[in-house]
Amino acid sequence: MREFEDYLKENKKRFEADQLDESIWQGIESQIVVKHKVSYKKLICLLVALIAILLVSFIGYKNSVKAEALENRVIAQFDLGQYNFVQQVNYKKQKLAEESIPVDQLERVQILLQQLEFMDGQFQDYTYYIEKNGYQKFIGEQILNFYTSKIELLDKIQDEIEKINYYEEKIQTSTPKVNIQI
Amino acid sequence: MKKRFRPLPRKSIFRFDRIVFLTILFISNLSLMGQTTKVFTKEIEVAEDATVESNLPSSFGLKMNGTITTNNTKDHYALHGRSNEIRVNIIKDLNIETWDRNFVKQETRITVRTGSEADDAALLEEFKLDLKVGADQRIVVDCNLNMDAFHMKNHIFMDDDCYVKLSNGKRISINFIEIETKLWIPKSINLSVKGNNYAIIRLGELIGDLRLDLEYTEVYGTKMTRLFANLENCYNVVFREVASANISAVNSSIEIENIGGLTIGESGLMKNGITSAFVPSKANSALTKYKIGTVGLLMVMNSDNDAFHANEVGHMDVKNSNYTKFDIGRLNVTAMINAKNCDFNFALIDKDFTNIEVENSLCDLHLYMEESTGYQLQLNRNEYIEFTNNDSSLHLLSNDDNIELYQKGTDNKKGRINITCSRCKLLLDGEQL
Repeated sequence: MREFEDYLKENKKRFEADQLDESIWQGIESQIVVKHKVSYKKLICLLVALIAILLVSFIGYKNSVKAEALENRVIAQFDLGQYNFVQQVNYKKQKLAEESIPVDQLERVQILLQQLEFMDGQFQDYTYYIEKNGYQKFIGEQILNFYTSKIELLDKIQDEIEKINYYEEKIQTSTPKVNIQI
Repeated sequence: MKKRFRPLPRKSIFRFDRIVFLTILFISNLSLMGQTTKVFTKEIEVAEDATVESNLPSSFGLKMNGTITTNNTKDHYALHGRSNEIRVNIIKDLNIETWDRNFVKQETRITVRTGSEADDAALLEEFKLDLKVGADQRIVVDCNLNMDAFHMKNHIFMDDDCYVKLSNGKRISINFIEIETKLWIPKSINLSVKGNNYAIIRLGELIGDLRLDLEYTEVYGTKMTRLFANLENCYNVVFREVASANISAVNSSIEIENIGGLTIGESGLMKNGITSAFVPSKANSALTKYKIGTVGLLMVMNSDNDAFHANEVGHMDVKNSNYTKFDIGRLNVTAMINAKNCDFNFALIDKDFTNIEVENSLCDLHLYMEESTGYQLQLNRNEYIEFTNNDSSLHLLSNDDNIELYQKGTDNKKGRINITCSRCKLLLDGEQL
């Protein structure tokens, strides 16, 4: 034991760690601070993004509810409730949203989907006109035509998707399928 | 005593109704009293190749503020003020009659009410019908004379304050105005009409060119020589006879009984003087229903999801079409088709047809051959075709590398059908030879 103590005393210097350069400590310290700062920034960005997403979704939801309410009001105003246009459109759109097609056909189907967007813009023209001029009987005829055309278009898209999938099944290509974005 | 509550005899009811009717008529006429009408007419001599450019009566500017109600029917546009009194009535129909004289005539009938006959007369003096031939042989017709706009404002403490602003900036106070315009033009003249406000145009026979740039407008024409039309959301565009037409249309309905040559979607839609393709699909014709009686030559340059129905077609050339449905009652001579996702139904193909070339995909093709038609069919099975042959006289001659050759009859000079298709259903119907 005595020998061991002597050995430690003799070699004390060897067991002591070398003095570290101050600049290395400072470097490590500053890096720790920066890392903390970065993670705070990330968190804030994440929160802002989350709030923005929630806000956009809320506005989108509110607008869609408002748009549907306006649509129902216009339909009631022109006594077109008997045709169940809004229900028909919603049902057909929901059915389409469940459909999937081979990814290489999506671009072509977009031609029809964009026409659907165009028709929604046309309805906005009518509502703008009604807001500006009040109830006008002849606009009712235009709205009747509009819904007939819109339902025809939705049926056309459904038929085309069924056609695409019919041949896909016959030929059995292994093209991956994607959902219709509607 | 039992007949105490006996209903009135029918005659009495009629008499009572008549009294009510006459009373309503009298009251409604009371508001029409004290107004003055003046018919502005101008006639100018024009060259045979001149061009008339007209706006629509509904282009009249209306600037309103306060409690205003409108009554907009198919044939008139009326504005009512705070006490529901009618202030403006525009007869929306633009009737354009044609004649053999080399004169353009505009007749605008204006009715006004100010309060006194003298003021009415003074007011009517302010309106001017300006109709003259420009340096480029153009005659510009303004259906609303020199009126720029009608202004009306009111509020809870103020009754309607109405005035008409003239094109020179002058303001004229007015209580009521009604405008109706009629045009007479030579048959030989070129006519151009622009408008976008739920109006109706009625046209007489025209030998010159007719150019239409319209939105939300109905057109009822008779006999035209050359028609150029840019139409958006025009649900009723009807002509009886057209020698040749070039139509670009979106979400419209077009009906022509008899047409020599019809070109669909050659150029982009004109909007505010700028040509552009229909934005969603870059097509020059889309979402439009064409209903044609007979057409000599049908050219489809660019069409997306239209619906085309014709009773009879001579020649047919489809250059570029997507998702459009063609329903042809009878095809007489040729059909050259380059399309995608377009269904074709030929309910009857004439026995003297010469050539049918089809390049298509994802579609249904139905060809019904006329009785006693001999022909040759070449079928290029690119990918997948379901071929249903109901013509028992059609025999397979050869089958070489996905190209099948069929023949009906023995005459080699008969018509030829060449179909190149992938993912299609082909149905061929025909009678025994």
